[in-house]
Amino acid sequence: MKKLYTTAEYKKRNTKQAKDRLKQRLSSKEKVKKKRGTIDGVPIEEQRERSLISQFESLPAPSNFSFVENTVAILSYLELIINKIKHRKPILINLKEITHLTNDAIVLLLAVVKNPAITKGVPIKGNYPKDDELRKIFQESGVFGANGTDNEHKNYILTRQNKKAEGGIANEMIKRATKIVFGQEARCPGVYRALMESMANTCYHAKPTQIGHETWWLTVYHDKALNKVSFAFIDMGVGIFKSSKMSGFRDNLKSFFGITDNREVLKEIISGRKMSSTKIPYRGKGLPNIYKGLERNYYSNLKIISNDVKADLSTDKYERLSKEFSGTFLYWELNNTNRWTS
Amino acid sequence: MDKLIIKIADDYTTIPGVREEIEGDFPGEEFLERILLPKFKQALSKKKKLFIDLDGTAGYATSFLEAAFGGLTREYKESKIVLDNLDFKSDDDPFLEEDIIEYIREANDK
Repeated sequence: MKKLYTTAEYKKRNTKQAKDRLKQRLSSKEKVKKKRGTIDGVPIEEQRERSLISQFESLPAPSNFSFVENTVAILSYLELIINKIKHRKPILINLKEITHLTNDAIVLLLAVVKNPAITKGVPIKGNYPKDDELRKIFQESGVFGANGTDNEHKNYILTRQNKKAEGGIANEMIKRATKIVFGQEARCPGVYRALMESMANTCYHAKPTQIGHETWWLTVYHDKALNKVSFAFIDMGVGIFKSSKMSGFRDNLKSFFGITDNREVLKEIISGRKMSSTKIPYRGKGLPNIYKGLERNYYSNLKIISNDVKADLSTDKYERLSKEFSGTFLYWELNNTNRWTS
Repeated sequence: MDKLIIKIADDYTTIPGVREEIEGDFPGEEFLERILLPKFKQALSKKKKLFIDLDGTAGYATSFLEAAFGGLTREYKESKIVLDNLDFKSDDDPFLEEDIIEYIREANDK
């Protein structure tokens, strides 16, 4: 046997194998060195986070992360999220690069990522914006963590969710908002009415076959610079124009007045002009009264987004959206020129 | 003419709900059944007006008011008897009385 080790053929093979092993070892060392270089000085928690995130598909959010200002882009982003979920792909909602944010987009994101019927058990993670101020808003919103009710110490944003019309929640949110805007806890009957009507609409009309099954989400955000508080309310139901309550009214608007465009339908709902002449037993006075709240100066800057319509009722501007939103979104602001009572 | 009084904030709740119990607490239908209708019947039998003090609550949803006052009108089939026998106080929300009168007038159109 010993003689075999000294043969030229063995020596040649042995030398080649040794060279290969060395090459492999060096390359492996290089890889380890390179890998270590990227994590050197990075806390272990962050390393674990990075490793976890690498398993998720990153979906960069639009830099203007505002549903009221950048509606179609946000809807497209939402559609992308929902499509990935349908394909059961773990996703990372990548908010690192956002440069502008309004609370309405947060409430929309909440309604999606916290809804098991939408997420279907697919893991969803998110990161926070680089911008310090925007990051604080997101962290307090509870989008990517527990959305507790203990928001006493927080300055930016409050979120609430429920399936029913909860006067206690409406009252609490108003007290907090008025303390900021008017410097004292106060009552705003118009805001209370708008909140209760919105909640009731979700309960009754969001999913007409299942009363009280749809969840509504509300965020209340304090803009310190402008001393205003914005209310953003959302449900992910069927939307105003696809609600069964609307079908008879819409049919009659079409046959009596030739109105088919949802922008015109919304104008008629808001004004109540053609309601009585259609003789439809439409008892939903919710939306017309939410509009009355704007006319009566209970709040400002009222906006509605539902199905293919985006309406800015403060400026009487009605847009048709190229991308449909299945749900109802309401937004308004409270500032120190609005009506209130002590 | 003497009056019977309901102060909603004291006699029912400071946070009125919406229309039906299925939608949330303190609904208008319950207020009608438990408080408004019995008191209105009492007022009619005693030939007194029923005075509704709306102040002191967080506010009112339209559907609460419609269920309560529209509902009362539907009980009596006509708005006149209700309008003639109710009085309101609403300093917190000056538009409320006008809204309620509208719901009473339109109650039987449904």
